[in-house]
Amino acid sequence: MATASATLDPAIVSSRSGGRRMQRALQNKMVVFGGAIVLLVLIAALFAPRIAPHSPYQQFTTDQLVAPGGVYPLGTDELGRDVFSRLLFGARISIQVALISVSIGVLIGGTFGLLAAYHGGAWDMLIMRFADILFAFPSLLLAIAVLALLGPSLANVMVAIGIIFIPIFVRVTRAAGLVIVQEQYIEASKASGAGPLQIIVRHVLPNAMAPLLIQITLAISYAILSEASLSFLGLGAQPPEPSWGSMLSSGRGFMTFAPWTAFGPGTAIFIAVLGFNILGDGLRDVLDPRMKS
Amino acid sequence: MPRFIRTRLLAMVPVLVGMSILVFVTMRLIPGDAAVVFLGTKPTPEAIAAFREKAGLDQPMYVQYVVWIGRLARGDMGISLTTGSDIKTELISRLPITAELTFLAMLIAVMIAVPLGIIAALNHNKGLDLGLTSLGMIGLSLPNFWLGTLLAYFFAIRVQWFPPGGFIPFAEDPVGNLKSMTLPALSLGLVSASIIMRMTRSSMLEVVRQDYVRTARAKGLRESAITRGHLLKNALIPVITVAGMEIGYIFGGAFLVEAVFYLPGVATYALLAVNQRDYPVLQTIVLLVTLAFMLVNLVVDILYTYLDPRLRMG
Repeated sequence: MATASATLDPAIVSSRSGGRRMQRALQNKMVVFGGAIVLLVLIAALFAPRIAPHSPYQQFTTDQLVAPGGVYPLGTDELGRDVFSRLLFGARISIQVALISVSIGVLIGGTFGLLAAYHGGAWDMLIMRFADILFAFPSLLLAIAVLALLGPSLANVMVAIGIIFIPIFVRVTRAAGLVIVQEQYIEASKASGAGPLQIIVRHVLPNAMAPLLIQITLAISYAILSEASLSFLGLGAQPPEPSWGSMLSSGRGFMTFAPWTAFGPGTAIFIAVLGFNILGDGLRDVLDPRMKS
Repeated sequence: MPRFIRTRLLAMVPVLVGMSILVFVTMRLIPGDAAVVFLGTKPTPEAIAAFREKAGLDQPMYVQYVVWIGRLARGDMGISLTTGSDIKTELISRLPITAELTFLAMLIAVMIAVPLGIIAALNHNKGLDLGLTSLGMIGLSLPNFWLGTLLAYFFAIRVQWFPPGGFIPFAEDPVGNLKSMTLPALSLGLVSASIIMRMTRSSMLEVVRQDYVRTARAKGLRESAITRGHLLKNALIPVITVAGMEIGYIFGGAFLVEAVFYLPGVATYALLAVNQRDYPVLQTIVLLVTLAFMLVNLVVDILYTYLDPRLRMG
């Protein structure tokens, strides 16, 4: 496939760079492997109600802490709930928290990053100083501080993690924007009367897509990890919500004689985080040749 | 003391003042009344008023702030709202635990990461590099509380080499202390080691491409001399930045690992304070943590100037 596209007219290739990038991405082993894991997690999240053999909340009071196998593929927890079904619904919570928190980061951080790049000067100074201060604070501590203020709940976890992402996306979009704003075609489009919003949407944003996509993938992995961490500490999902973090936290108490209650959620967190990390690394190799080692 | 260190120390003062005001004001925005938490369910209005007066909560906010800062400057951190115990005494007993955990984790991380990162870079694109990079990816994706749980299960429950939790002071029993800290420090250190190893590797690979390395090779220097004299010193600069940042992540991770291994450290104290809205404790800890991070950043910058003479001019 690569040789076929190489023989094409360069003009055609560049006009189809989206498709070519897609092709190159699919040739990257990390993208394929990471992508496959991500797909699996997404399917679990999307189709949890169809795949799950039981309700994640139903307590089979006669079947507490039953070992994996038979009717309960991954065993039951201390209240007699099916661990496998709870893990599937846990994927929903993880993905939901990740998507919403990353959206908060991208929308707020991205807007300010583009503003900083486009206007420069005092705007740039002010926005970047603020982002630097936010960035300097260890992210988990920042999230815990926000949750101390807002109170523990899953909705507040989304806000807390979203705030962590704001300075990251300010930096990514600003860096991408700065390069593009200096290009001559921006000058030309300004001269022909295009307003700032038009220039940002038409020219700056599409060119910032590659670094954004890489950062979004890695941010999702971080969001899943953070949600699990905060729920593990009791600051996120509240019982009986089947968050992987809180499942691991309660399962640890029965680890001596029912290790599956902890192993299921722990492995789920690891696999989901690993998938997005590998995909993000692969995308960086494909989309950002400078970073390729 | 070199001038830049003095300047940096002075620059900390306005940041600390700003931070203390921010922390003080936000702590008072926390929903829920400390009096209700302290006095239990359904306290009488008289009891609430008496409590508020005793804790100084009936004063205007700026008066409360000045009183707090004034006492803090004299080393008086006040008392916990929930337990009534002296915050300073509590912190002094807990600080060594968190400090030891952070130090050991950092030590493990650097001692594993730097040599492995160098080995991976020197064997670029060979099997060893691939293996180490994959291992790094796995370590990077392992949540420290899950790694801690696994370590506790295999090395404290299945094979009882280490205690599953709790803390033994070093002064009482040095061997017992190190045993009780091994698994927690590993849970934090191995994850950070993955991140620092990736940085060391890519930083080494970056430096290998530089002109001065080619020059050194062209003038006939031995490979080992190039590695020691040119590669390492230059490659370690970004590694130190990342390692400095890792201290922050390790402290964040201490919240989880102290919970996994039931260590009565500062993070456990802070978490308790979050859950009980104990803001005298919270505001003191946040301020101290900020101060600690600024000092760590300063040390990182001092290390920079030692490694990179170009920075000594500024």
